[in-house]
Amino acid sequence: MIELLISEITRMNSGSCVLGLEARNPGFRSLRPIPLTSSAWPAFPYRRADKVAFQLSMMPVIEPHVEDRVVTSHRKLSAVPENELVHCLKQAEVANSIKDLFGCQLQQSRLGSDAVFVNPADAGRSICGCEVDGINFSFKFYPKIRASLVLASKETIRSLPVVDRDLIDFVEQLDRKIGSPADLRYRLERFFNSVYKSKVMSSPIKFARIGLTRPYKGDSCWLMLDSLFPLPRCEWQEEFK
Amino acid sequence: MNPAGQQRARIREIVEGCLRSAIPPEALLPPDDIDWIESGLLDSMAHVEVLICMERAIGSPNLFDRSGIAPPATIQLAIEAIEAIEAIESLPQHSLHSVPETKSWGQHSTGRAGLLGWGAAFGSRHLTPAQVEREFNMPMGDLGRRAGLERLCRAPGDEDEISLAKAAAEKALELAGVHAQSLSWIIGTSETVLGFPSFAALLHTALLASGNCRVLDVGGGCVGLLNALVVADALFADVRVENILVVSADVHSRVLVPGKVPGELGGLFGDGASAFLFQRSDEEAASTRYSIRTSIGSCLGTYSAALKVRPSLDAGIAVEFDGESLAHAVADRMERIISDLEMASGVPREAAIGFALHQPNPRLTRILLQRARLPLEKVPLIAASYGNLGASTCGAALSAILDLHAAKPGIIRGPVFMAAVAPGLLWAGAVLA
Repeated sequence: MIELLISEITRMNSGSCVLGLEARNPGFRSLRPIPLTSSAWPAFPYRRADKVAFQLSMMPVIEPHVEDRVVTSHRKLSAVPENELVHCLKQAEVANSIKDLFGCQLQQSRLGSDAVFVNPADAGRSICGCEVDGINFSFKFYPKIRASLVLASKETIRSLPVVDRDLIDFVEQLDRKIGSPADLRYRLERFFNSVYKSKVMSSPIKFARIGLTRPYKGDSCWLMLDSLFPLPRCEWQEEFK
Repeated sequence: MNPAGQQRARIREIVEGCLRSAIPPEALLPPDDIDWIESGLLDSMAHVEVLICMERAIGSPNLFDRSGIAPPATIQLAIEAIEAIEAIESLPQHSLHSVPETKSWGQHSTGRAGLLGWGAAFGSRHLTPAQVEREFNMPMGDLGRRAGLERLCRAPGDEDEISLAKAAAEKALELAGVHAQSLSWIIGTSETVLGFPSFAALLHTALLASGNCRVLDVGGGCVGLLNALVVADALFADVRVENILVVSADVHSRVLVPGKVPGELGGLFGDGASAFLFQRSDEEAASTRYSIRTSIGSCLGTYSAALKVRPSLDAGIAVEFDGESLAHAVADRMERIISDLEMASGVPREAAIGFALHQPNPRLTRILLQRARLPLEKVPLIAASYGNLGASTCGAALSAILDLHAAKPGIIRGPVFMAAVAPGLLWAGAVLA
């Protein structure tokens, strides 16, 4: 059994995609446990920062998703606080510049948006962490949420789809709470770009993990915001107006 | 077909065109009521891409933002959503290549000012690529055979930014028949004059402009000239403004020198200047002069690390230069600027009589021409003959185009596209018509 510290649970169409940290000497590396019978977890029974023992096997991987492993069994061992998880993430795959995120250049969407992708053949991995120097949210295509990040290198990555399950759950709770009024998008955007952003930017554990989608049309893996730390807290919703 | 039917057909063409660009070439378009995502035709990312493509094609960047409905995911819903919004907001009825009257995409000039004079000047010392390669201790053929450089123009000791700027400005003033005493503003841009007095202030003095002529320096590196043109156009909102002189000048040979910067960077740059005289136009004059019809621009920080140049603590120059990344980013963005200008102005590139482009190096320019389908005869290859002149590259190219075509009757001379990029990654474009 391999012990993984669950670091990402992201929302996919058919369920959840999960990443965990395996302790190495030194540091950590990310592995993506995938259920035996499907490409995503229909219902993943654990939470971020849980330590889970997995029976993992190698599987044929398609680059750049070299972290994929197939799971035959699993059980929870324990859990750690969020700040310890971020501490471990900073010892896993990290980059201070865009070029180092996946070992290749980003390319702009060919259809005119600000979204960026990498060529699957050029990328050396499909997940990487980075320090966050600024963030902005867009709810223009809500329920899809997009974020733009400023990295420590002062480079920007725009229009990242937010797939972080905790963040999406938080938004959906807000949506239900206020009953989807006509100006919902505007209110969500205002809240996230003021209150939420200020909580993130003032936190000592602010950190992001950026992932790559599976290759689309065989030639592009889009960048996604897999995780944004600190994770949202219920009490922040009380500041939503 | 009745007007409503034509309208629906036009919207369908846009919706299907955007959808087709996001699906594999061999895939068929789905029936109107099939959900693109549920059917697996598009993933979540591609869905948003298609919606943004529709907004751009309609010429309304926030189309779906204003609709108050869920983002459409079928052809039927997309057509209905656009129809509903157009009905509510009475958007202009234009197709992909007709002229949008909305001001939501790009900035559109009111045509208050016309271009009456122009000129360019270049360093008078000419170097072969081999001479430059020796200076920078580069492998022979790197600048000539590989980069496509034919000649480099450098300013000898008795020339500098101000003397080149003055020479270009005097050509522009003479062509326009305007005296320097009549200028309301001098707007200057230079990426190599770093001290004070500033470039525009020194030029004001050199031209002996009047005490009523105001002075402004505009930044932006290689997009500096485009920034300056847009600022000049906007300043005509003040009814007292009559003549504005826009000038660029860059003498790289004193800054990007061997030992301080690598030859692959410094060896490509030349010295030059450009100048343009804008004059307030009445209705009759406006029809005979070029003016800025549309301008676009922004900053793409994703590529900000590809080129960084700044003074270092030891009085040298700190350069971070990732040539390959920069070349990819520049070629992609320049091609995008041309496409965006088409959309913003409603002018197809085929209608342009010339393209005044920033040219980091001749080889990259030729790659861009192929990718963007721009005919060589419409693009003055400034970088091949004079070197990369910074902000003045676009200016020298525009001046060359105007020399050839400006005297032609308005009906046959056609619009001019301008496009430039700079570290940041700043980008800007304009259509002069």
